[in-house]
Amino acid sequence: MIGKYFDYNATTPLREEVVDVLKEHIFTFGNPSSVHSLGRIAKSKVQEAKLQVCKLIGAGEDNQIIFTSSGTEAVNFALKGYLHAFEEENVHIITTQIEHPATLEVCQFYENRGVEVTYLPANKEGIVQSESLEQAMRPNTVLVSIMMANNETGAIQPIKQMIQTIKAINPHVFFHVDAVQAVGKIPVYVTDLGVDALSFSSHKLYGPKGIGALYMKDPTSLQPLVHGGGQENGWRGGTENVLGAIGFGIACSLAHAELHVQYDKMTKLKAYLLEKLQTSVADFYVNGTVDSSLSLPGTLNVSFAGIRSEALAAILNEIYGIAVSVGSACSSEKVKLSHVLQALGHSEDRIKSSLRISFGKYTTREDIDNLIQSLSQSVYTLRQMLPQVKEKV
Amino acid sequence: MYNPTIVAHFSNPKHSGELPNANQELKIGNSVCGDTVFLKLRIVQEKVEDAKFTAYGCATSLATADIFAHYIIGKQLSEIIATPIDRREAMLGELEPPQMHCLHILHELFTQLEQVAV
Repeated sequence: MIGKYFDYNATTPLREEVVDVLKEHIFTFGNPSSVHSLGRIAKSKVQEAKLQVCKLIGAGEDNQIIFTSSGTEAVNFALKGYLHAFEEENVHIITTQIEHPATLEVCQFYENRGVEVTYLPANKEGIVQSESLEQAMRPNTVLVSIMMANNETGAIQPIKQMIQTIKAINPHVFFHVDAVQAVGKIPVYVTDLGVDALSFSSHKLYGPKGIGALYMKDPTSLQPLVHGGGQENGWRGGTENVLGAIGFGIACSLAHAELHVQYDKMTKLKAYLLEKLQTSVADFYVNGTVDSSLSLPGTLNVSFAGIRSEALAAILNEIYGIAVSVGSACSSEKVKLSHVLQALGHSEDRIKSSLRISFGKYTTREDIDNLIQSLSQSVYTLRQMLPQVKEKV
Repeated sequence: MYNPTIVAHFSNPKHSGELPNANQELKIGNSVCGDTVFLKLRIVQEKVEDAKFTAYGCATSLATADIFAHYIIGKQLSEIIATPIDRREAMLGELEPPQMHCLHILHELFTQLEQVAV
């Protein structure tokens, strides 16, 4: 079953080692805020997990990491926590058109309250240009939030260059990076990048759901999002998700240990997938870039000319048991098109035919062979159904 | 996500393809999803002898075309037209909200066939 799963960017399976550690700690129920020994055990486990998380992203002190309930909460915390200081002020923020809704929705929330927002475009390869960021800077720009790697195309943004550009213009601008799709897949080192804040999530790197993290270079720069009982040194109220933290910690530790091995494996698998696609399926287009240095090694977004990927994904799922993701879907009133592929300037037909294939550590070459065979047959079946000339009715 | 009727028809359509000796054609364009369905018919003495569809669309649209073709083959036009609304809608099974637009496609197929019969 796991070999037929090609939706790793949506979520990853719990890795076996994480399951074993979670089982081992299933009765670690103490409240980390309690002073008795059960509380102290829980607290030490959370602290240990934080060190493991810190190590994966090259963070120095463990109090720079705040555990959250998700990547989305971490993004909300970073943006709202920073913008809180500028209430009633005429400020400007910069983000991109290809961000995850976690960022876009927060920006739109502030835009509705009078904050000026610039949404930077991406080029055909899905990359946001540093030059456009530089041009978007204004004297009242206080915050920039850009993702490290795009969830749909896998395109990796030139974050380090962007931060250098911004900080050279105004070192006080707060730079947040949504690294949910990047951490655990490619090297992400916060001090090397020079980020002010960075969000990521456990379930994208084979850890449990329900826990994410926010790295903060200077915690005092943010206001808490969740007020409460003083947990997380006062940065986030609410009893800690101890078991989640333990699982997240071990997942980070394992991801750190095998980062380069997995990166090489995924890079080879992606090259193999592309090669097989080229020899097995006619008329497809890559959305984003195939340049391995500019995209996540486990992500490939492709459009198959003439067919709707919603139907393709349905056949793959129902007949072959294969799970993929699509760039458009019917809703009750219209077809929802991927805002990311729209930002890349693709046509409606191309977006409607786009399929995201994302794979990971449990994927083998045989799984790719099976995917290609199923995909090739499904595309053939759907193209056989097509009108000879696609005319508008 | 898809009910068993829809799955059966989109995963293994029995009535897709061209119909060389067709003498009627229904054309559906759905403004909601942009899906298109072309249904070619062979009608002899007010009876649908055969029907084949070609389509560009989502899984439920494809299934709708196949379900409709399957329903009308071998029937008199008068019998098809007399199909009550509730029975027509039941043909697709239970649909989720994003799939409801396919009911419009189905109704439009019935409506266009009624016009053929006039």
